[in-house]
Amino acid sequence: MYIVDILISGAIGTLTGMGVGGGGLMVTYLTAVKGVDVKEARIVNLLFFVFASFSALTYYAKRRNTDGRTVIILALSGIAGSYPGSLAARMMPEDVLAKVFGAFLLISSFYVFIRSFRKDNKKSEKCRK
Amino acid sequence: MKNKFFKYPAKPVSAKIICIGGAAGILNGLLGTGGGLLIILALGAVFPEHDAKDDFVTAMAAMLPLSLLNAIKGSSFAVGNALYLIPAAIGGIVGAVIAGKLKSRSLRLILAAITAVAGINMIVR
Repeated sequence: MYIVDILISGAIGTLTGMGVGGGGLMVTYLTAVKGVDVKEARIVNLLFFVFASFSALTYYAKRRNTDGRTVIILALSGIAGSYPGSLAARMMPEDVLAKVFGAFLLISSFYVFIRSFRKDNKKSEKCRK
Repeated sequence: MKNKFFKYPAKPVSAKIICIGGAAGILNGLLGTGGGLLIILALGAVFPEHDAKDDFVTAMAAMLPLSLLNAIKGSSFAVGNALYLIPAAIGGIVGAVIAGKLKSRSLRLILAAITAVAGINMIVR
Protein backbone atom coordinates (compact mmCIF):
# COMPACT_ATOMS: atom_id res chain seq x y z
CA MET A 1 0.00 0.00 0.00
CA TYR A 2 2.92 2.37 0.64
CA ILE A 3 4.06 1.84 -2.96
CA VAL A 4 0.64 2.92 -4.21
CA ASP A 5 0.75 6.04 -2.02
CA ILE A 6 4.20 6.92 -3.36
CA LEU A 7 3.14 6.40 -6.99
CA ILE A 8 -0.08 8.38 -6.57
CA SER A 9 1.78 11.21 -4.84
CA GLY A 10 4.39 11.28 -7.56
CA ALA A 11 1.75 11.32 -10.29
CA ILE A 12 -0.26 14.10 -8.66
CA GLY A 13 2.96 16.01 -7.98
CA THR A 14 3.74 15.72 -11.70
CA LEU A 15 0.33 17.14 -12.57
CA THR A 16 0.94 19.97 -10.11
CA GLY A 17 4.27 20.75 -11.70
CA MET A 18 2.70 20.70 -15.14
CA GLY A 19 0.09 23.24 -14.06
CA VAL A 20 -2.74 20.80 -14.60
CA GLY A 21 -3.55 20.93 -10.90
CA GLY A 22 -3.26 18.33 -8.20
CA GLY A 23 -4.85 19.78 -5.09
CA GLY A 24 -8.32 18.51 -5.71
CA LEU A 25 -7.00 15.11 -6.70
CA MET A 26 -4.88 14.67 -3.58
CA VAL A 27 -7.77 15.60 -1.28
CA THR A 28 -10.05 13.24 -3.25
CA TYR A 29 -7.52 10.39 -2.96
CA LEU A 30 -7.00 10.91 0.74
CA THR A 31 -10.73 11.10 1.52
CA ALA A 32 -12.11 8.50 -0.91
CA VAL A 33 -9.31 5.90 -0.81
CA LYS A 34 -7.47 6.44 2.47
CA GLY A 35 -10.56 7.39 4.50
CA VAL A 36 -8.99 10.58 5.83
CA ASP A 37 -11.28 13.38 7.04
CA VAL A 38 -11.64 16.28 4.62
CA LYS A 39 -10.27 18.64 7.24
CA GLU A 40 -7.12 16.58 7.74
CA ALA A 41 -6.79 15.97 3.98
CA ARG A 42 -6.73 19.74 3.49
CA ILE A 43 -3.65 20.04 5.68
CA VAL A 44 -1.80 17.16 3.99
CA ASN A 45 -2.68 18.69 0.63
CA LEU A 46 -1.23 22.05 1.63
CA LEU A 47 2.10 20.47 2.59
CA PHE A 48 1.97 18.37 -0.55
CA PHE A 49 1.55 21.50 -2.64
CA VAL A 50 4.45 23.23 -0.87
CA PHE A 51 6.84 20.41 -1.75
CA ALA A 52 5.59 19.90 -5.32
CA SER A 53 5.46 23.58 -6.22
CA PHE A 54 8.79 24.46 -4.61
CA SER A 55 10.61 21.92 -6.74
CA ALA A 56 8.66 22.93 -9.86
CA LEU A 57 9.50 26.59 -9.24
CA THR A 58 13.22 25.79 -9.19
CA TYR A 59 12.76 24.79 -12.83
CA TYR A 60 10.39 27.58 -13.85
CA ALA A 61 12.15 30.48 -12.14
CA LYS A 62 14.60 31.18 -14.95
CA ARG A 63 12.40 30.07 -17.82
CA ARG A 64 9.17 32.03 -17.39
CA ASN A 65 8.25 35.68 -16.99
CA THR A 66 6.75 36.52 -13.63
CA ASP A 67 6.27 39.89 -12.02
CA GLY A 68 7.84 39.75 -8.56
CA ARG A 69 5.72 42.59 -7.27
CA THR A 70 2.53 40.79 -8.24
CA VAL A 71 3.74 37.61 -6.51
CA ILE A 72 4.51 39.47 -3.29
CA ILE A 73 1.20 41.34 -3.23
CA LEU A 74 -0.76 38.17 -3.96
CA ALA A 75 1.11 36.26 -1.25
CA LEU A 76 0.62 38.93 1.43
CA SER A 77 -3.05 39.49 0.66
CA GLY A 78 -3.51 35.73 0.44
CA ILE A 79 -2.04 35.25 3.91
CA ALA A 80 -4.46 37.88 5.24
CA GLY A 81 -7.38 36.15 3.53
CA SER A 82 -6.42 32.70 4.81
CA TYR A 83 -7.36 33.55 8.41
CA PRO A 84 -11.12 33.93 7.81
CA GLY A 85 -10.96 30.95 5.45
CA SER A 86 -9.35 28.69 8.04
CA LEU A 87 -11.81 29.88 10.68
CA ALA A 88 -14.75 29.04 8.42
CA ALA A 89 -13.29 25.57 7.73
CA ARG A 90 -12.99 24.84 11.47
CA MET A 91 -16.59 25.86 12.06
CA MET A 92 -18.06 24.01 9.08
CA PRO A 93 -19.32 20.39 9.44
CA GLU A 94 -17.22 17.77 7.65
CA ASP A 95 -19.89 16.70 5.12
CA VAL A 96 -20.79 20.27 4.24
CA LEU A 97 -17.13 21.09 3.67
CA ALA A 98 -16.81 18.07 1.35
CA LYS A 99 -19.77 19.20 -0.74
CA VAL A 100 -18.52 22.79 -0.87
CA PHE A 101 -15.20 21.43 -2.06
CA GLY A 102 -16.88 19.28 -4.72
CA ALA A 103 -18.94 22.21 -5.95
CA PHE A 104 -15.80 24.32 -6.19
CA LEU A 105 -14.10 21.64 -8.29
CA LEU A 106 -17.07 21.47 -10.69
CA ILE A 107 -17.23 25.26 -11.08
CA SER A 108 -13.50 25.52 -11.65
CA SER A 109 -13.55 22.70 -14.20
CA PHE A 110 -16.25 24.56 -16.13
CA TYR A 111 -14.27 27.82 -16.19
CA VAL A 112 -11.04 26.10 -17.15
CA PHE A 113 -12.84 24.25 -19.95
CA ILE A 114 -14.30 27.49 -21.29
CA ARG A 115 -10.97 29.28 -21.01
CA SER A 116 -9.16 26.57 -22.91
CA PHE A 117 -10.95 27.63 -26.09
CA ARG A 118 -9.98 31.27 -25.79
CA LYS A 119 -7.12 32.32 -28.04
CA ASP A 120 -3.74 32.30 -26.27
CA ASN A 121 -2.32 35.80 -26.35
CA LYS A 122 1.26 36.02 -27.53
CA LYS A 123 1.96 39.63 -26.54
CA SER A 124 4.06 38.45 -23.62
CA GLU A 125 6.64 37.26 -26.14
CA LYS A 126 7.52 40.93 -26.77
CA CYS A 127 7.86 41.59 -23.05
CA ARG A 128 10.68 39.06 -22.77
CA LYS A 129 12.83 40.89 -25.32
CA MET B 1 20.03 47.04 -15.67
CA LYS B 2 17.18 44.51 -15.79
CA ASN B 3 16.30 42.67 -12.59
CA LYS B 4 15.35 39.13 -13.58
CA PHE B 5 12.66 38.91 -10.88
CA PHE B 6 10.77 41.84 -12.40
CA LYS B 7 10.67 40.94 -16.06
CA TYR B 8 7.41 42.58 -17.05
CA PRO B 9 7.12 46.37 -17.18
CA ALA B 10 6.50 47.68 -13.65
CA LYS B 11 2.84 47.79 -12.66
CA PRO B 12 1.40 49.87 -9.81
CA VAL B 13 -0.07 48.13 -6.78
CA SER B 14 -3.58 47.32 -7.84
CA ALA B 15 -6.68 46.90 -5.74
CA LYS B 16 -7.64 44.11 -8.13
CA ILE B 17 -4.44 42.19 -7.33
CA ILE B 18 -5.01 42.62 -3.59
CA CYS B 19 -8.61 41.38 -3.91
CA ILE B 20 -7.51 38.41 -6.02
CA GLY B 21 -4.91 37.48 -3.42
CA GLY B 22 -7.36 37.88 -0.55
CA ALA B 23 -9.98 35.73 -2.26
CA ALA B 24 -7.37 33.08 -3.04
CA GLY B 25 -6.31 33.11 0.60
CA ILE B 26 -9.89 32.63 1.80
CA LEU B 27 -10.39 29.74 -0.62
CA ASN B 28 -7.10 28.12 0.38
CA GLY B 29 -7.84 28.52 4.06
CA LEU B 30 -11.31 27.05 3.62
CA LEU B 31 -10.60 24.13 1.26
CA GLY B 32 -6.83 23.69 1.40
CA THR B 33 -6.69 24.13 -2.36
CA GLY B 34 -8.05 26.24 -5.15
CA GLY B 35 -6.34 29.52 -4.45
CA GLY B 36 -3.85 28.98 -7.23
CA LEU B 37 -6.53 28.23 -9.78
CA LEU B 38 -8.45 31.32 -8.73
CA ILE B 39 -5.33 33.44 -9.21
CA ILE B 40 -4.65 31.95 -12.64
CA LEU B 41 -8.19 32.61 -13.85
CA ALA B 42 -8.31 36.10 -12.34
CA LEU B 43 -4.91 37.13 -13.71
CA GLY B 44 -5.99 35.88 -17.11
CA ALA B 45 -8.94 38.24 -16.93
CA VAL B 46 -7.02 41.22 -15.51
CA PHE B 47 -3.90 40.80 -17.68
CA PRO B 48 -5.10 39.18 -20.91
CA GLU B 49 -1.76 39.92 -22.55
CA HIS B 50 0.02 37.44 -20.28
CA ASP B 51 0.80 33.90 -21.32
CA ALA B 52 -1.23 31.41 -19.29
CA LYS B 53 1.94 29.60 -18.24
CA ASP B 54 3.39 32.80 -16.79
CA ASP B 55 0.19 33.30 -14.77
CA PHE B 56 0.50 29.72 -13.57
CA VAL B 57 4.04 30.30 -12.30
CA THR B 58 2.94 33.56 -10.63
CA ALA B 59 0.07 31.74 -8.90
CA MET B 60 2.31 28.91 -7.80
CA ALA B 61 4.90 31.28 -6.36
CA ALA B 62 2.24 33.34 -4.57
CA MET B 63 0.52 30.31 -3.06
CA LEU B 64 3.71 28.70 -1.76
CA PRO B 65 4.17 30.81 1.42
CA LEU B 66 0.44 30.86 2.04
CA SER B 67 0.11 27.10 1.82
CA LEU B 68 3.14 26.61 4.06
CA LEU B 69 1.66 28.92 6.69
CA ASN B 70 -1.74 27.20 6.60
CA ALA B 71 -0.11 23.78 6.76
CA ILE B 72 2.00 24.73 9.79
CA LYS B 73 -1.08 26.07 11.60
CA GLY B 74 -2.86 22.72 11.32
CA SER B 75 0.00 20.28 11.10
CA SER B 76 -0.38 17.76 13.94
CA PHE B 77 -1.60 15.11 11.49
CA ALA B 78 0.49 16.16 8.51
CA VAL B 79 3.88 15.79 10.19
CA GLY B 80 3.81 12.02 9.70
CA ASN B 81 3.14 12.16 5.98
CA ALA B 82 6.58 12.29 4.40
CA LEU B 83 5.36 9.40 2.23
CA TYR B 84 3.43 11.92 0.18
CA LEU B 85 5.84 14.82 0.33
CA ILE B 86 9.05 13.42 -1.18
CA PRO B 87 7.29 11.92 -4.25
CA ALA B 88 5.47 15.25 -4.55
CA ALA B 89 8.78 17.10 -4.79
CA ILE B 90 10.09 14.69 -7.41
CA GLY B 91 6.82 14.80 -9.34
CA GLY B 92 6.79 18.58 -9.24
CA ILE B 93 10.03 18.99 -11.10
CA VAL B 94 9.20 16.16 -13.51
CA GLY B 95 5.91 17.89 -14.27
CA ALA B 96 7.65 21.21 -14.82
CA VAL B 97 9.96 19.63 -17.39
CA ILE B 98 7.10 17.86 -19.19
CA ALA B 99 4.88 20.95 -19.20
CA GLY B 100 7.35 22.78 -21.39
CA LYS B 101 6.55 20.31 -24.12
CA LEU B 102 2.77 20.86 -24.03
CA LYS B 103 0.61 23.79 -25.14
CA SER B 104 -1.53 25.72 -22.64
CA ARG B 105 -4.75 24.50 -24.19
CA SER B 106 -3.85 20.84 -23.70
CA LEU B 107 -3.07 21.49 -20.04
CA ARG B 108 -6.35 23.30 -19.46
CA LEU B 109 -8.48 20.59 -21.07
CA ILE B 110 -6.78 17.89 -18.97
CA LEU B 111 -7.30 20.00 -15.85
CA ALA B 112 -10.98 20.56 -16.64
CA ALA B 113 -11.69 16.85 -17.11
CA ILE B 114 -9.81 15.75 -14.00
CA THR B 115 -11.32 18.36 -11.70
CA ALA B 116 -14.86 17.66 -12.97
CA VAL B 117 -14.50 13.98 -12.10
CA ALA B 118 -13.03 14.80 -8.70
CA GLY B 119 -15.82 17.31 -8.01
CA ILE B 120 -18.61 14.88 -8.83
CA ASN B 121 -16.95 12.29 -6.60
CA MET B 122 -16.83 14.69 -3.66
CA ILE B 123 -20.48 15.72 -4.04
CA VAL B 124 -22.03 12.28 -4.41
CA ARG B 125 -19.99 10.35 -1.81
